[in-house]
Amino acid sequence: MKLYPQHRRVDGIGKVTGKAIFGADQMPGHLLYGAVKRAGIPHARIVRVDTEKARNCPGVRAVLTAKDIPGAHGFGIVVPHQRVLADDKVRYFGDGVAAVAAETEEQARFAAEQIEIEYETLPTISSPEEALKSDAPLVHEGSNLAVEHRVRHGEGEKPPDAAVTLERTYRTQHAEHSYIEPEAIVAWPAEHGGIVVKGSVQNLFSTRRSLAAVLDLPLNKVQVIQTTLGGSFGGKDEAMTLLSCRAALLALATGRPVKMVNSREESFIESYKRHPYRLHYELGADKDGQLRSMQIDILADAGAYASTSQFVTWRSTVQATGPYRVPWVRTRVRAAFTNNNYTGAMRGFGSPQVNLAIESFMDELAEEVGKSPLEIRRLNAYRDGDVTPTGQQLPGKVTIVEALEAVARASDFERKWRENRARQKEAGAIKRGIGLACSYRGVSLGAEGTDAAGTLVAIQTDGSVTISSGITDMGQGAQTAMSAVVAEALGISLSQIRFLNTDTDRVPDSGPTVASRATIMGGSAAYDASIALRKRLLEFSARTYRGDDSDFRLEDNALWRCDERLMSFHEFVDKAFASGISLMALGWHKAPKTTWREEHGQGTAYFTYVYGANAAEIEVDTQTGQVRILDVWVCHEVGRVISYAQACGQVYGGVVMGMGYGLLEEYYQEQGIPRIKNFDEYTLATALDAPNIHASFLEHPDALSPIGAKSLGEPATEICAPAVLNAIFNATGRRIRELPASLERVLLGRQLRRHGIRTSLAKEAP
Amino acid sequence: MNPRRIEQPTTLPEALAVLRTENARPMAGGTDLMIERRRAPFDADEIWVALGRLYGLRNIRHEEGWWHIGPLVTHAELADHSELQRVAPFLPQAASLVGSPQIRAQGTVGGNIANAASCADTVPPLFALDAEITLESAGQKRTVSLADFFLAPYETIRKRDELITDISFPDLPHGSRTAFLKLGRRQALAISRLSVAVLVTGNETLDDVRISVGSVLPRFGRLSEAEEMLKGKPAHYDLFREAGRAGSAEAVRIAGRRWSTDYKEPVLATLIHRGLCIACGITWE
Repeated sequence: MKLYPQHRRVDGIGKVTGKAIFGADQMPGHLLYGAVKRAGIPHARIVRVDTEKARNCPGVRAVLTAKDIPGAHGFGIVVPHQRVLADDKVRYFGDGVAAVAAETEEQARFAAEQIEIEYETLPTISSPEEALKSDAPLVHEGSNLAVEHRVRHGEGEKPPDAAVTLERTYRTQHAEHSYIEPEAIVAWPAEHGGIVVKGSVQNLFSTRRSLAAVLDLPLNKVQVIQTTLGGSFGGKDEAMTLLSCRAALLALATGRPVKMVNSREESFIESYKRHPYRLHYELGADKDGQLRSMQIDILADAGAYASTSQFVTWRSTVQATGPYRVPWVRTRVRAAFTNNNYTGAMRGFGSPQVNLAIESFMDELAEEVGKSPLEIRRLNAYRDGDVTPTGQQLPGKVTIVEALEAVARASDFERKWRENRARQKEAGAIKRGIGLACSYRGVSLGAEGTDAAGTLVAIQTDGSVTISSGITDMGQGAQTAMSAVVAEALGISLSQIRFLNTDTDRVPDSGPTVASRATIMGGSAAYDASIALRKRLLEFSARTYRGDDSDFRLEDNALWRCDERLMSFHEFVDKAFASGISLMALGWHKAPKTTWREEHGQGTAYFTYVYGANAAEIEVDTQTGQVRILDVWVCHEVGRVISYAQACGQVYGGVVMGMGYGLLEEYYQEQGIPRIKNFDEYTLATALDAPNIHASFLEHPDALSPIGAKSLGEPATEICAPAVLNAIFNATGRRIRELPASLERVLLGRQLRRHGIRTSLAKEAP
Repeated sequence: MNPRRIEQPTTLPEALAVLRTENARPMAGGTDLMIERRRAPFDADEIWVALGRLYGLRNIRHEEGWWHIGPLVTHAELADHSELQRVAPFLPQAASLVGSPQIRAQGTVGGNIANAASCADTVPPLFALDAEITLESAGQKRTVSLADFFLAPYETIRKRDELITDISFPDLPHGSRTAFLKLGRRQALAISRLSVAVLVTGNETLDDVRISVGSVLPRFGRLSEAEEMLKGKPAHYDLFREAGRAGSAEAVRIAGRRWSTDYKEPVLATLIHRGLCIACGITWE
């Protein structure tokens, strides 16, 4: 397949001209607005909910509590215990207790505030460490231990003897997805007695399953339609299920469409976050730094509900040792319930945390044995045919060293690293540093679950084409990637293709759009459909215009017989259709098999892997703690680049998101109370903070992917933070082991915390 | 979040008359007010008096040895003012570091002062310039020094029906040089963690030194002890370092120790040191 070096996003013009219609833009007639009464306390038993006052407020059409739910009260991909509306207890500050529908948004919000709830306050569990104490109160019945995974690799109970041992603990923070569009939905009763829900949903089929269970409806009466999404980063899964269920309940109760849109503050306090991890790493190595053993103990904060913790921590388990050969490994990853925001999927999905730890740890080992960060990685990195700690022999070409060498060469790493190191002790406030980090990552869902997807390609009689897929676009570029695959297979230009937003009534359940699987899964399904169509059309041409199938081809928007252009694509498909040829095909792609044995954490965890490396060059003001990232060199091996512009886009966004995680961002809760509720204090990196980013790609088309392409979305963001922290060490000689590397941590080595809220807010507090 | 009523007076007397109404609140840009209202409870029975049409309060002019900055001058306009860039560069510079291009296009100097956040970026240079504030209400007019204007964070002496109608400061002493430093968590849209404005006068020796700081003191202000220890002495890197430490200690003494003091104390000393160096053309690094 030939490469498409540059093309612009097929959805770009609509977005930059304001024509795209987002969830909150929907304005059907007879609309009601929904609002939620939230707990406002982290942990309490509900004694009584009094909705009387709210019902009598102006404009109110319905007030619902858990009692009004016809089906299941809870939902959840692993444990269905997250309540649509809290019934027995509230388990975190953002839990919803009642929902109101009213004629205006203000009336709905006002009425929601009039709902009176009597609570019996329970002790707050504010950290996973507290949660696992033997006398800790329980967040859910049973145990506060939400998840435990283990990996055992190598014989013997004790690690092999080693000349060098090292032991370190790293910590990461709660991070917010920060999609620019907060959660938005409109739900309306359908003519068949079911429900239609349309809005900013990422994983339509999971949301539909939950809606069906909660509303006690069959799946064929629940239709979930996606509006154009303003970003998700893994965040519009359960958060949208919650909103969809509430809006649907209100719509069915009132017989009218109900719109619900979270304010940014509501989004902050209610939505799930990236898991904070405490990561304890121990290693044994030869005196030259060759790894002999690793023991890893990780504890994650699952927050109030199970969500996807099971899978997030599982990916961490598989990837915790990084892309390095370690003969003896013992890994334990646990997650515990607390009264913090629940935590779940966020771009990276359990990798940014372990990458921060292992990549810092490798630099610390390098320091210990007197090697450079590049040398220690070269020495230990996977090569072709190596076996991971889960017992899987890495398939295909292993390119981690290639990626490392590429960024090291491009950044002149070794020279700069040595010079910076020599200058640490010299006078001067501003120090330069350069840092390296790399990763390997399992592609798609792996042994998490069924991994298959469908894409429908429909050629119209005028030669234009629509694509609809069970895989969704949320701004990541999936529709451009899938369109590019179809355009290439049918020999037509990208402008002839329109990609439709996903609608559960019209496309097959393709699982969630997560795990950087949109291109490989949705794209491969699109390829499958296009190839089927092409074959059908070329057979038709061979029959009609005499010749062998192989004499004909589709190229440049035309049908060709050898070097002769027979007719335009448009004319051709019109003729085919007139002869009764179907111009529509459903493509289906099922990923190769994966296996997992939980007891010892062994198996073919993912069917293939991607490899990548970052080098970050920074300046540290050692008198203020300010860090400026100057340049980041990036190299990812992605199988095959489908669209160069889109691939670069993933890298640019990923690096900036990674730098925010490394230096700036933290969602902070004090005893279960959110202290940061908006972007004034949740500081994302801005355009002025963004470094020069030098992206490059290695292409080794993967035999296990029909289109050769693998993954990039998550790899692009998962190693920037450790590269920056390693650069800070190179500049200052001081190691930061906790994220974010804030002004205070860089200057003082510790974070400072304000108790309570900012003065500007305190003056308004009741 | 919406107020019940928005008034857009076109003349000052009209504006002052509306302001006498109960629940009336002036809006001079609204970049803080809009956000504050979003957070407030639903009651919002307020009248917002949007001042954007009082074009007469949107000029910068120089008269009889005094600079007059209209309160409705936007940060962007102040930042771009070429004459002020020449005579008092730290003031336009401070304005250029406010928020983002959108906020600078909308936010005003008068709003910045009246809102009285301790992190307001234009206030420290105005303090160093010995600025005065003119307040007017229907029938009354008074002029006070900036030092007298602020009472506490988000509290000033401005009465509910008063408007800031002028911000003025006298010509800078001959040979003055200035510096402004802002430290935020990021390069744009950053609430100042610390800011320092420095004005020095003198050739061989420092005749006059003014140092004022933001995001440290409850009422803004100058650091007089640090200023005094420099007066009459020749500019020097080491002396400035001492002055930084003294100024920072003085600020902490005034403000008291808070959660952030462990960080701010050393960094304020650094910023004062650097500000003095920059103003005097000495390399600080």
